[in-house]
Amino acid sequence: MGLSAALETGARPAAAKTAEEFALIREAQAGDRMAFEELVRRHDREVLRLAQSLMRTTEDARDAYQESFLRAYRNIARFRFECSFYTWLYRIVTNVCLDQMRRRMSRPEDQAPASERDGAESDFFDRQPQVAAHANPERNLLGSEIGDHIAAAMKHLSPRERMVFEMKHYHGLRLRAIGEMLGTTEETVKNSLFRATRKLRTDLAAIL
Amino acid sequence: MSGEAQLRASDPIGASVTRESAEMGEACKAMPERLVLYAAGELEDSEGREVRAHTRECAACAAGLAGEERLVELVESGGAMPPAADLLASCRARLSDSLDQEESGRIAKWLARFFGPGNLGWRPVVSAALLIIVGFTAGRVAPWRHMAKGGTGIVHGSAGIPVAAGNLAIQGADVAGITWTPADDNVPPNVQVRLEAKEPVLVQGTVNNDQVKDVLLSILRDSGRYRPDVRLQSVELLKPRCGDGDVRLAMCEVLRTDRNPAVRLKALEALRGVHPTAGIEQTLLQTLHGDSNPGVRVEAVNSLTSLVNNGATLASADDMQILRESMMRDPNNYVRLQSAAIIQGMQISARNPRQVSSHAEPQH
Repeated sequence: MGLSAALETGARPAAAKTAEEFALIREAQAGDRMAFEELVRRHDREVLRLAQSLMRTTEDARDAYQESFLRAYRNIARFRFECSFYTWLYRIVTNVCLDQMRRRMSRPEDQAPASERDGAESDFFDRQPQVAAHANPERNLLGSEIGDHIAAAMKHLSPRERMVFEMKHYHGLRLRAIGEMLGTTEETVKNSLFRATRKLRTDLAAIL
Repeated sequence: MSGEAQLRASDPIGASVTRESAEMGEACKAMPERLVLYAAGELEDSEGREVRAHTRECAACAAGLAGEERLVELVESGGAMPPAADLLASCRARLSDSLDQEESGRIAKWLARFFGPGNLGWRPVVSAALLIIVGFTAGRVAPWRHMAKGGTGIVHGSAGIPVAAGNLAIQGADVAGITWTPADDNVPPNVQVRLEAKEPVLVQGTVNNDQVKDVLLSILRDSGRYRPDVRLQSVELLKPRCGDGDVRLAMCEVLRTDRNPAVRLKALEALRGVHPTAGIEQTLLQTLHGDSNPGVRVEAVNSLTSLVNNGATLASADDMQILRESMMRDPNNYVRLQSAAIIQGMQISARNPRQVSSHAEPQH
């Protein structure tokens, strides 16, 4: 897709974008690889952001991204247009991340060795600086200190509590949508959010 | 204010909530959960009004709401940042590689299903005809193809007993050396790969031989085990087979992960002229953005220039972001200039789609 086309897409109303997306899904269901890759490009930034916030390491986030889109590719024929593609995709991502988080919790020794590698042996991608378009050193420093506290507190949450809390507050999703993605009721999601909040308020009392 | 009242005012719904619940009024009892939902923006308007009215009257719940809102503000300020462009590019490149493999797997599965025993049983006449055609074709074509593909592809153990090449990688054999004999023009050289397994093994043939190709690929895929000269030779020998999907994927992986810049440069050279795929484009962008070696980045930007001149579009927001960062921040002047030229070329072609391949001359 050209730059001008991409800009036009960004300005289109939501209904037109949904119709266009459904057309892409149908093409992908018919085996059009390019259509699927276009769907990936539309959603993968948010998918990776979710995976990064849920997984402990960049390597785990990358694995979750990979596994989620491969599952979407294998199962796209089963997409029935009963919900948005975004909801369907997030359901896959959350399942992948939950599986991975549970595995990590049950086998804490099964960690990616990325942080233990020395410079000579480190992976190409791990050597790269994390450059974001909005990079701001002061904000990053403050953010990283707060982020450390939050990350430590998050470890005390169960995988489901953590996922609900992050999807709500980091990704701005409605609880009903989170319930749909996690295959549970809104009431259960509310309870998870409430429990997560209580734990976090206790753990972060010093900086609140 | 008493100590308990202070505690209630500072944290009415936290750890102290159970202890204090007896003292709360009926309205206060329902508040903890509602405050969480209110701070999360999940209450209906009418419920929100009730919460605001209650917190105006009740200092403890007002403090609880303030605590909830501070928590939300804190986590959202220190929370999830958008993923870095280079990480996103690397994920896309890896996914593209995997989708290539998925596609070839699908074709294989379809063939297996069609030619499987169940189908042969269902369609005896068609199956018999197909078998005759396939058998005839194989009989006519296979000997010719076998010769054209690099001769016999000898794989022998020390005692002269043939060894299955596919098992060599599994055995984790070390490579003692690779030698090749140049042949006539347009004929690939004869390659000999000596492997040190439990018993020495010699794999021999041209690179068109699949067994030779598999051994060379296994060297590239497990690059940490082999010396740079062995990896370099493997890339060089596989260069003519870059049209093959497996080889292309291995070259991209080498470009992304090999520790030796000479090997990465050789992989770049091998990928030049190959029909560009999304995986190759993303790998080149990733190399341009993140490779520590200026020479590799120079070659990566040259390859990208060549792709753009041949009509490739790198105009997604993420592609442009990587190019812009190279243009602004790369320590190498040439890389910055070439990145700028690619961006300029993309902008011109976006305005004049018909002139896609007629501009963006490389700047030297």
